[in-house]
Amino acid sequence: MTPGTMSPLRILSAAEALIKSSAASGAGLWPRTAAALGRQAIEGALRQYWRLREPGLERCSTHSQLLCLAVYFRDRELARQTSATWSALSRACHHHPYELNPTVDELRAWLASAGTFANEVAQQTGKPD
Amino acid sequence: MRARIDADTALAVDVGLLVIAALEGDATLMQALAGDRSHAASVSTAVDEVTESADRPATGVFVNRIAVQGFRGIGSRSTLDLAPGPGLTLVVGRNGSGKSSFAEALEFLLTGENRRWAERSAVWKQGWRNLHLAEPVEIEATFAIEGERQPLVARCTWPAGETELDAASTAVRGVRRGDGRAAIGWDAALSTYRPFLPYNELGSIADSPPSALFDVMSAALGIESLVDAHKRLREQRLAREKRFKAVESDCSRHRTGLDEIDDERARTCARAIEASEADAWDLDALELVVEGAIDPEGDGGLPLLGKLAILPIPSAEDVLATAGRLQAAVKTTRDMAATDAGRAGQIADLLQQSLDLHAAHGDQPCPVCGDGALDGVWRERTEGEIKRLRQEARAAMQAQQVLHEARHKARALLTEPPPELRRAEEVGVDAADLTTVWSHWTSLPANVPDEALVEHLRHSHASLKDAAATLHEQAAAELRRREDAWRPIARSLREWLPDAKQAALARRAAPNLRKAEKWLLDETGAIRAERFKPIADRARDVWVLLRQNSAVALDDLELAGGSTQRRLALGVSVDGVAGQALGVMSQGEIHALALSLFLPRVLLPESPFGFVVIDDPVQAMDPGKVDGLARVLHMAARTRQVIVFTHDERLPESIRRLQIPARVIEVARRAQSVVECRETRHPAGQYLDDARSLTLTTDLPPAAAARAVPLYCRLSLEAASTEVVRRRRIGRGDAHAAVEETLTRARALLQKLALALLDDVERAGDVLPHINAKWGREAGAAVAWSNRGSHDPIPPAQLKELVSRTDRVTRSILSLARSK
Repeated sequence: MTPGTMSPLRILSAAEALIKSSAASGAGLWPRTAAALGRQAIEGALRQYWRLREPGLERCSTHSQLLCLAVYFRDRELARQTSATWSALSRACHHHPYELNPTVDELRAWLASAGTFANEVAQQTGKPD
Repeated sequence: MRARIDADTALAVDVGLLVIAALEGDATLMQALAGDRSHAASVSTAVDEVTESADRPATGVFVNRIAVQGFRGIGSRSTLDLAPGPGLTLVVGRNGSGKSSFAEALEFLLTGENRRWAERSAVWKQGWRNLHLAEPVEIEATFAIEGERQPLVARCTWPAGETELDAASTAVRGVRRGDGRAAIGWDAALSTYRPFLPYNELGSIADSPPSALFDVMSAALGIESLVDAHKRLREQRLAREKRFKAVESDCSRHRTGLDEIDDERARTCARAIEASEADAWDLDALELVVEGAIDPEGDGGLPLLGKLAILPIPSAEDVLATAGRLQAAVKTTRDMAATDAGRAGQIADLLQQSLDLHAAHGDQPCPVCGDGALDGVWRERTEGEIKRLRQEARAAMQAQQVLHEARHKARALLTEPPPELRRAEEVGVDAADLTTVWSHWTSLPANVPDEALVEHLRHSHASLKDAAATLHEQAAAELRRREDAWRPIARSLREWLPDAKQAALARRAAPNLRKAEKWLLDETGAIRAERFKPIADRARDVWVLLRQNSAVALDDLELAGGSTQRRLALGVSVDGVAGQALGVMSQGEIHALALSLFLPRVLLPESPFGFVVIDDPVQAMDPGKVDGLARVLHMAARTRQVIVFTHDERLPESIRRLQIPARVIEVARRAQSVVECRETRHPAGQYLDDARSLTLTTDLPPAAAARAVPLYCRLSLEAASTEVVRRRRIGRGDAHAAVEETLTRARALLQKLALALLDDVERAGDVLPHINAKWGREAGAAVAWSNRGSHDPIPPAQLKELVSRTDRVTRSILSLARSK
């Protein structure tokens, strides 16, 4: 399975596993990879949500999707938090000069936030994993 | 404080009274130490307020605008318009654009100094005038004060051509009038809550001694009065101990002096102060001796010398008179030597019997001799004879009596010498001569003839007198010698005594002072810890937001120790391993830590300052921490007017990305130091950007656009309304909390607009007609659409048009507040 076909929650499990297995070894690309997986999970959950709630929106830019999420989503605070998490993950998975990798704790917090959103979407769309 | 004193049953009453007196002030403390307890009953409320001051809500002060001319980087007059009330404002501009000049001007206006220059060279300090001279050099700021309908305007100006920074004169107008910076009236609060956080001050935390950080943090806790009281107690105790030490060192000098002289007064005095423990000194006894009020021990050398100096001998007149009388008696007796007084008496008795016989039996022959006859002639002759005989006998007896008495008196003069003479050796007086002479004087045998006695008296007394005179002189000389040795030390003791008595008395209070100090120190520590806890908690929260990628965790934050040991203890751990804060931190982290420490102080609810100015916080900060900083500023902006000056693009970028509502004002400097401020971003504008971005999204489902776009338009109108309401109401002195309460209660857009446009939340129904009348029906339609959305999908072109119309309404609303 490629990430594109994996459910958001399974992508997040993979990211968690990556952190677990790699955190001890230190160096490597894994923090950015994990961040990228987290971002994909949010984007996947968004698509999953829109397909049911407002078909067509899943093809729009993620920024627009997140702007609309604040209008559609039941839990406004979760929508805002998801938006912030997505931008943090986006920033972390791109290379910025002079910037350091996120810490394990930060990554875990972002992935947890992404997980909360993905779970909520899974429940609302009736598609648990 | 009173309650704490009363609650502590282990605290002695006297100690508690000292604490109270110390809290009242120097004068009361002195009274209490003098034994006056009257202050206990009339404790002023200041003492009780110590513990409650932290709970007092303060008056909110916000900045309306800062106008600067000819100062630092700003030439001709330039005004920075700020929105009074909570919220985040970023003032951005390149280095040298003049943005920091606004921050420095405001700080200088209020505090008369600027931390950024405080430690710089003179050249730097002289650069305060703008090179492109605009006269007069002037800084003016307008503040909105909670509870005051009028703003406070503070203006500081320099005379034309003035080059001294300190030559500024400040005038206060508006709600208060007055001259001089003190007239602004915030000096104490400014030093306690210091709403200015410039970059270099944040960086200086690493170089500050721990005690300085302690003082800075402690100042915000409102416990100076406790610290002052402690200082008072300590000063009193130290002064007393110091004074007593001086007395003690004098005392040991006196002991040495006293030991050096042989004088029982000295010995008595030495005994009075021989104890090393001053409490055992008998200063009263010492005083009596020094003042000569009592003799030292009765049988000492001085009384003996005194007696020897006037040792009595039989007086010459006495002796000579007695001798004369004895001699006369001897002569009288000798003249009567023929007379036998006894025989004369017996004959007189016999003749009397014969007279009696004759009287009884008449004339008759003499029964004794038988030859003579007892007759009248005889009788007459015999009666005369008896009379003569009896006189003779009596005279003889009298002469004997006189002689006897005269001899006795003469003998009586030959007395033993006074007992003191035998002890003369004890005081170094040579008594041998007098003793010999005296023993000669007394040793005349009892049976010498009277003439010899007379002779002895007459001749021996002269040598007795001479020897006695020699002894007197010796004793008197010895007395003088001792007096000469004693007098200086007595004088010195007399001078020392009052000091010693007072110091000893004063020192008696020292143990209680020490207890009071300790108690107050402990209580202060407890209150400090109590009050510091919210700051520490907040600092940790700020640090958690700021640390982002940092492995350093701020575990522990404590104001530790007291007086000279005081320090701000920063317990940190790096990936779970404890370490020393400043040692393990990078420069950027130190800045973040400083912000974590200083920001909570500014945010204390009791601070009267609703604003905080942060200059260049992003410098040296890790890029990853900028997001954290943005969140911290967002948090602070919930209750404070946060004004951030930065040249770094990353902060506005981060705020945009994190969708944090903020005003962004760009400062640009043209030639001739003409500085322009332009608002490039406003929360209202942010929402419109989101709305616009949605309208530009390709393939956005029309249904989604119809729901989402009006929401962001509505949020934009609400943001504009909120700013107008805050500016108006806070500007006219409404209570900050009441303004926020009103805004929170006005849930619906039309209510918020009613507040903004009509200043009356009840007039929501009049809003749309008002807008229609004022800005045209299209404006009203855009507002109505923003409020309710539309059920039918709207063509994209029309959507864009609605957003543009909303934009115009938003700007019109905002201009309402700013035109004033």
